[in-house]
Amino acid sequence: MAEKIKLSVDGILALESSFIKVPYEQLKKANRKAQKFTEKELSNLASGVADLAKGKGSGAKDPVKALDAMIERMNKLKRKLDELKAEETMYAGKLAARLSHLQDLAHIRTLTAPEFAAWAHLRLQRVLLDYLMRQGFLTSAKLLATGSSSHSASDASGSVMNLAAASAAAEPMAVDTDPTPAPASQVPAPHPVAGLVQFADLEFFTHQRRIERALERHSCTEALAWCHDNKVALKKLKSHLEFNLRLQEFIELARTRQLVPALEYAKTHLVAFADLGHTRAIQQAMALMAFPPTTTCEPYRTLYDSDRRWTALAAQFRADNFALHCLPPLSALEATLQAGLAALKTAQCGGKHEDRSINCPVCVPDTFAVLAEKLPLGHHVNSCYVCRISGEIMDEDNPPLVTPEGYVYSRKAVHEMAAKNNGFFRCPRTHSIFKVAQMKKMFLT
Amino acid sequence: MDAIAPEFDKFVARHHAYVDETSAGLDGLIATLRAARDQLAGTDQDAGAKKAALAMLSLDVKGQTSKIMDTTKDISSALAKCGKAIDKKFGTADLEWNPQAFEGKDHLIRQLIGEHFIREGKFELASTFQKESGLSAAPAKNSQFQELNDIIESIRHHDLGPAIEWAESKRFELNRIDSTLQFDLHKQRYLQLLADAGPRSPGLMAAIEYARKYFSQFPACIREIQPLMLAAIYAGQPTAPATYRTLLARATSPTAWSNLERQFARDFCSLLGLSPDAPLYTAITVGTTALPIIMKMSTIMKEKRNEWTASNELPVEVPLAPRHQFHSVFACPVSREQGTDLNPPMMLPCGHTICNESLKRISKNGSIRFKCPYCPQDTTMAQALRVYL
Repeated sequence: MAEKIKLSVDGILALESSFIKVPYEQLKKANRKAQKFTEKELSNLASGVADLAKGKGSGAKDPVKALDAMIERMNKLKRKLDELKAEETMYAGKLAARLSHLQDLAHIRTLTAPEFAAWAHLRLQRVLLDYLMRQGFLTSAKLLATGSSSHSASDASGSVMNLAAASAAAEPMAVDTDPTPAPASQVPAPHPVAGLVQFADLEFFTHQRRIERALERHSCTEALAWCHDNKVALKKLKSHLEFNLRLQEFIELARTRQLVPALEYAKTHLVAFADLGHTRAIQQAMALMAFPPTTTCEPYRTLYDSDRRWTALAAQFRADNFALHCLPPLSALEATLQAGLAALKTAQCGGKHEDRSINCPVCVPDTFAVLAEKLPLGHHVNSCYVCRISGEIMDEDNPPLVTPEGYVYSRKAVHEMAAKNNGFFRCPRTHSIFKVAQMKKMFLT
Repeated sequence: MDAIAPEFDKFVARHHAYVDETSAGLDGLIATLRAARDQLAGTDQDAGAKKAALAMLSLDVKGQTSKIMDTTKDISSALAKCGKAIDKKFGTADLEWNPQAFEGKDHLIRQLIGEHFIREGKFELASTFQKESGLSAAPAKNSQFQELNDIIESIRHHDLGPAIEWAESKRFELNRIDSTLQFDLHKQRYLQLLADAGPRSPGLMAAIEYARKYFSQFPACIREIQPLMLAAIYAGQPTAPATYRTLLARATSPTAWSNLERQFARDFCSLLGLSPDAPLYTAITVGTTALPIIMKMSTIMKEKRNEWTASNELPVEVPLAPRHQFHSVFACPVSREQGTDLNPPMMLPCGHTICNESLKRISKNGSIRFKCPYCPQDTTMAQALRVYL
């Protein structure tokens, strides 16, 4: 069993899509926004100046005033671009830290390398962080990411810029709180906790939370703005979210019996979806105008079922937002935990008290053991003998010995106990006492 | 990863340039506009000169704006290239292979996260999490974990002081579990002193003084102390014999430090009757290597339309590091099946072990004598002994 087990780096990396893609997509979004804004403002400026030169346009009468306005707009563009560039730099920093964290894995060759233990520790921290954020426990997530609650822990809805400042400030902070700074001559600690901030997608989840909250308040405005920002990607995804949001706004107008505005709304917003296979839904919606909210007639009663529809909208938004950023529906923490518990699970886990091991997660009652209930057992092609006394794995150097009653222990443990007890061995399970000579060597197969 | 890094580096380099260039470009543009404005606002110009100035300005602005636009487009295309490399490596990851396993168990996951924070000594986080997640009871605070984590943290920073102090205070308990921790900590500190001293004599004397003071408390370890003292001769000498070079290198070896850290955690927890690693850490570490294997299998099985989650065993073996093997497992060398209570392992008189069903098959239900599948010895079913691993 002593041979080194090789690490399948590619396999592990393949499951890290969202870790890389969330900051990448945000970087892309900020960059596209900057590009669009620059393009628009600069082409406006160029044509405005060209018009002035030709004596055309509204500014021709007073070119000085027109130029003043242009200068003002350029200053605004510069400020806006500075903001967006700072945002881009922040996301690029996250991407860099994450790529390098994944790259670290390429240098680790075996499962048993200490570097892998350190890497796995950091990975645990970030899948925990991911879980907290997905569940909407953003205060805890911030605390875990920064290792301190002295700042921003109380403001639940920090804007993107606030968070950018917080994450920038957090790095020197994390160094400050370091209990014992390593002397310069020594190797740095293998657990760069400060890097955890770079692994947190707080902006992403805060934004998502804000839109979800709006939907809980029965407001579609924020979600529609999000749809607009992600128009192309949502089309590729064949998402019905935008239609359902529009439909909901229409239903709300019908509910309050504002029939004329409802009709107007349908004309401007619903008709456009008729070509996309929503004809029947639009027909049903239009019929709502004839049915009051108190109707018991289906399907109109269901369409008026407010709670159900708003909950469904929030779920659909979340699913689309996840899909857009390659976030799997199941969190990495849960998926990894399932796989880990299944691989560790044996028929002995959580069984009789004497069969349990204090080191085995699956044997932890009430939590892990219950989670593992519906999971399959690990599959083993080869036998593995773990000594009940020492917890060591038995091999050629420390082979299994069998008592006359059939109980197996490692030779080392048997001899150690015998040395303290005048050559006698007492079986911890049956409490029978034997001479070491009575025990038989078992072959490893 | 190898394809992404160069594209990303290119992007980062260009982004720096982009930030500066667009900034400077806009400043230039604004300055040009200002100059033109001031010129036009001046009264000493006639209409023709003003017109010419505007024409000049138009040309100038056109050139400058297109330059800024080019830089902007450049950075977008660098980013897009980066995106392509990322898409190639990272597809959509599906992590679901057993959707029902954790159904309705969210509260348990929260509970174990709360316990994990306690275990890691993050008490403030644990109580924030308890409030935010609505966990009914706060996980019990345990100051021992605080102590453990503080000491581990200092070991990670190569500071052995707190660990040595703790070991000294638990000298009696550690002796009872046959722990060599105390000696191993002093040994590492001594090697650290040697490494810091190099060939200089004052430092060297300090190291030897340290050895005199502490090693003398461990007469049982004399065999280990001898080479350690000899190593002092070679401190700071690159041409030292390999044995001593390796020994001296332990002062900075990550493996030696991480082993010491594990040894400390193991003995500390052992005195508390706990596992050295937090159970969540163990489960997630194993899961990190297990998940890709299981996902791959699951995809293949889905393609072949085989259902396997219902069966009671994973269809594929997940290699486990020896320190993650907590229970004995018997796999019959004949049938390749795992031993169970109904089909237990049976040892033949020669010392070879097969499962009960294989034994029945080979012995024709005990009716004949048979030869062991692994050695020439022959035997009967009645002579086989049920073993308990």
